[in-house]
Amino acid sequence: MIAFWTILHGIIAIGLLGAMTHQGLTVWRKPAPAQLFVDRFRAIPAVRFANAIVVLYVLTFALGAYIYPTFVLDVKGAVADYGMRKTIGIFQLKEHIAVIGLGMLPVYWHFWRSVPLTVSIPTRRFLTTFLMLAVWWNLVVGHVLNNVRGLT
Amino acid sequence: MIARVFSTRVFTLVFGIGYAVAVYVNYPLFRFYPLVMRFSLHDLVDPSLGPAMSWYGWIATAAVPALLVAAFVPKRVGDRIPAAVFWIVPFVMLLAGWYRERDWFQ
Repeated sequence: MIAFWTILHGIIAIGLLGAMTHQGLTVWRKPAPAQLFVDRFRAIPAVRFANAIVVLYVLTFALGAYIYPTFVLDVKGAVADYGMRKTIGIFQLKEHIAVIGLGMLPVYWHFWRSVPLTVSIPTRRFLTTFLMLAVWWNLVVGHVLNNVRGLT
Repeated sequence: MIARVFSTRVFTLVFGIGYAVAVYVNYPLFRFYPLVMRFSLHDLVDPSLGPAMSWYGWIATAAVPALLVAAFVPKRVGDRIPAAVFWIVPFVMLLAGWYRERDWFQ
């Protein structure tokens, strides 16, 4: 059953990654006609992604928190036995970064949905980019660790 | 609706500082022992209970005051917190996390 929750955690995380990357790249885009694929990827109404990102982030976080004890019992010890202490350290940092993202989420939502889009542009850009990088880091680290020693 | 009575700026600020402090001084509100599925307000120094998890407790240490303060501080006051503060908060939290996990990298 834990494999099901782990896979679901990964699938929702990939959905979050897609939404976050769309929005993260859009906040850096200069207004211009979108002709190339990359420009079309970034030419989305970024504000509409904010609610979906909050929901997907909370879901991903909650599922991660649910499977975390199994990781501690089944994976952490085994990876330590392999002598891969840095791998554990990087995963532990991932857990902190997930909490940082969770803590930033209310103010991220605030700057997208409550503050007029014409003001606080640098802060909105920073928060969105930070969250995008955090989501990328966490997905890559989680995926690599699952390859090192997966939950079964 | 929620945004009218709940200051998101205050929540993030208090949560961020609370989490950084909780992690830095290692003060989880509670610990969880997954092997025996048991919560404890104290560190139960008993190897038979398996590893203790502080992560949920650190989150709770930060979230409880953040929710309370964000609910009671008027939103108009919270909205005066400069946006620049939120450029610093995640890095303060990250530094505390790095400090807590530094032994893994030695």
